[in-house]
Amino acid sequence: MLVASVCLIAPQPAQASRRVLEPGKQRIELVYDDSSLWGARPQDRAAWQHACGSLTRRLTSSEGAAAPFAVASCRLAGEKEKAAERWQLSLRHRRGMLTITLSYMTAGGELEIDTATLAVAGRPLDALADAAAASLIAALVVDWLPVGWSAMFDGVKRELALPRSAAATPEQLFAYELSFDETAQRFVPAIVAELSAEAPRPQGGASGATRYQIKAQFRPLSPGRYYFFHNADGRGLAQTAIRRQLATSSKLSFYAAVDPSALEMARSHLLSFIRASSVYTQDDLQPAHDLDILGLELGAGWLKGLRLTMERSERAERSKGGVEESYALSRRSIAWRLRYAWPLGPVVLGVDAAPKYTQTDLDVQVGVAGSDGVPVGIGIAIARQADLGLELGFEQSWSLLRSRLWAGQDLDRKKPQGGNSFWAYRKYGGLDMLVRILPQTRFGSLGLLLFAYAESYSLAREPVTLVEGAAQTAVDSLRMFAGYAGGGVALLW
Amino acid sequence: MVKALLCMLLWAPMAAAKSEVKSTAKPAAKSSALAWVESLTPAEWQASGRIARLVAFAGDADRSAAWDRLGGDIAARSCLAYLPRRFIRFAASLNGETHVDDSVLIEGADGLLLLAEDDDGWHASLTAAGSTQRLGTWMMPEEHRASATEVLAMLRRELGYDAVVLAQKDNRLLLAAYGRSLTPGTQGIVVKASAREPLAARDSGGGEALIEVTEVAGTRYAIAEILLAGRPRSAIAAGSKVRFHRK
Repeated sequence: MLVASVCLIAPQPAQASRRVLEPGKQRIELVYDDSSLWGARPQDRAAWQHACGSLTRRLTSSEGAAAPFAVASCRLAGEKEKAAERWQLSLRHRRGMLTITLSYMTAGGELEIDTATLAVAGRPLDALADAAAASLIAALVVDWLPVGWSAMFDGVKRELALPRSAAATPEQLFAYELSFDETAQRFVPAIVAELSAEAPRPQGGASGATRYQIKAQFRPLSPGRYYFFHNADGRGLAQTAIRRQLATSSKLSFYAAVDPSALEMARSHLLSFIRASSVYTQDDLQPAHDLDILGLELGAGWLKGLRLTMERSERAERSKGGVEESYALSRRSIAWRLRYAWPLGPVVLGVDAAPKYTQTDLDVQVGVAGSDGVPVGIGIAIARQADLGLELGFEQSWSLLRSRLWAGQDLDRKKPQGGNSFWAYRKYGGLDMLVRILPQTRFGSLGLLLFAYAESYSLAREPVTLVEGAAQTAVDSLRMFAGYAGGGVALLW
Repeated sequence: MVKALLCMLLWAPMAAAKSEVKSTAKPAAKSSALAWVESLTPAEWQASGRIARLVAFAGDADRSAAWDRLGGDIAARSCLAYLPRRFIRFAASLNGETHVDDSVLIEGADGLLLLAEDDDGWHASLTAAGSTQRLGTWMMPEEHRASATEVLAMLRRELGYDAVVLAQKDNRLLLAAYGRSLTPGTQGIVVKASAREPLAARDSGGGEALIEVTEVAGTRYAIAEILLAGRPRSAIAAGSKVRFHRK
């Protein structure tokens, strides 16, 4: 029975509007961007050429017919590009972080394919020149590529061999032809065949290669023609294995690639800890540590000479949802408060200049599993910091009680152990209560000091390297809020 | 008398040709049909006619798993190759997207029989030479749509043929079958002037040749011998449709 109907599939756009990408003819340009190499010396240029050569050998056909690119070239940022239309792999090094970006460049613009950030220790060019590192980065690029591998069918064997990737070898491949829709900025594949990996041969055979046989053929395969091949499950799937190897290979100086979601999770745990360090204990956190805050304030007249506070926390560990956390905090701070006050009727307006020196031993280790399953550790250890700030407050005194409401702004310079020092901005405010518990004598008086305050840290626009064992990561900005309360004694005279 | 003589004159060269083929043909090896298929350049026969050689399904994506099973069964029982649905996901991944339209299936796929499902059955279309031709709506009860046997029976019924001619050598034809169970001795006709038609209507043209299956390679390929043709040493165009006698 034939019944006229409306076809559910929209007619395909005219092929004329598409440009076909030709396998075996793709070119890629590797660009290295490092501000420390501006005005590069000859030896730096030579080091880049060496590192780039190590990478491009794994991306071009010079090491076999299955490489994705036919031509590769290298240049430093700022030098003139060698082809208008090309793939471009940009390697940008800043402050120990290497950002790798793959793009497709046309005369009309740039189509960014994917990007990754790696932490690198030492000279990045030395790391890039390492054979294992180059193989893994090449595998990462191929995993990103819409064009995948390319290989030629000989028309007889109905099989092909692909280099066995150090990171992952897919079980099944799609062979496809590819068009690039310039207007829509999309790649349009046309499937040609599906291939399956052969079972490993017990002995003999080409080492270092995986052989694939045609499982199903969907379009004619022309002998002597190149086709694109990619993991049949899609692109980008091998990244987990590649990152894992980057993080664990002892031959590499690359460390764990941390994605933003893992950073966010670690930051959240760090924030939770600081909140939990206060007396405002949150039930859901249940920190297993003790916290002591002791304050000592010496004051005389309008000049407040010295205020000393000390906080101490025992080491605490806990595991929650597979996340290992380890905390240790001790902080000692000495602040000199220089204060001038104006009586304004019932209250006193005071202006304090409060230079402080704080010795902080804060050690937080949080091991979280990143979105790709790779364990990511984030740690912070701040050895010392110096603050300089101004406070503004109102004070009200009664015979036995003196209260003060104040707010201030600090500029802190922090120096994590093994990391780079950075500036932090701290806003804070609090309430002090001083209860006179002994009567005034010629030698003064003794009071009980109770205080509570809250502070907000902001580390904006400052790349911060947080150190944890052998792994590094970076935080571009960090904001946290914490509340504290404590008590102590005050000598008054 | 005159009529009898004319019949004898017509039959004599055909019979001679048949005996010539039989006398010169080498003993058929068990895999000769497959060897013949593999010796062909697909472009040779795909370009010569509208032949459905791929099948794919479209419609409610939640049915993808069921279609994958059905497509695999159809591919195992016929010459049709199944274009897997996961190619859609694959195509999306190339652009970093999570979803693309089903139309990606027909991109550049010549000879793709696309069956888009709805409540009534399948909306069938065939792609060839870069264009898509609607074949119609093929009704089918829902309870039969998971059965490769039923779907292949529907295909043969609606397409109007059971097999297509892939190639010819002398008096022998290489056939690709669409799930019809063939045995040596099965006879059929090559539908006249059908090589470039996507369908072989029951009332079309008549027979171009009478053939008989001599060898079967699984359920996909067969070799048949020309028993009777309108002209001696008749050249049967690749892509011609074959309809077998229904027992």
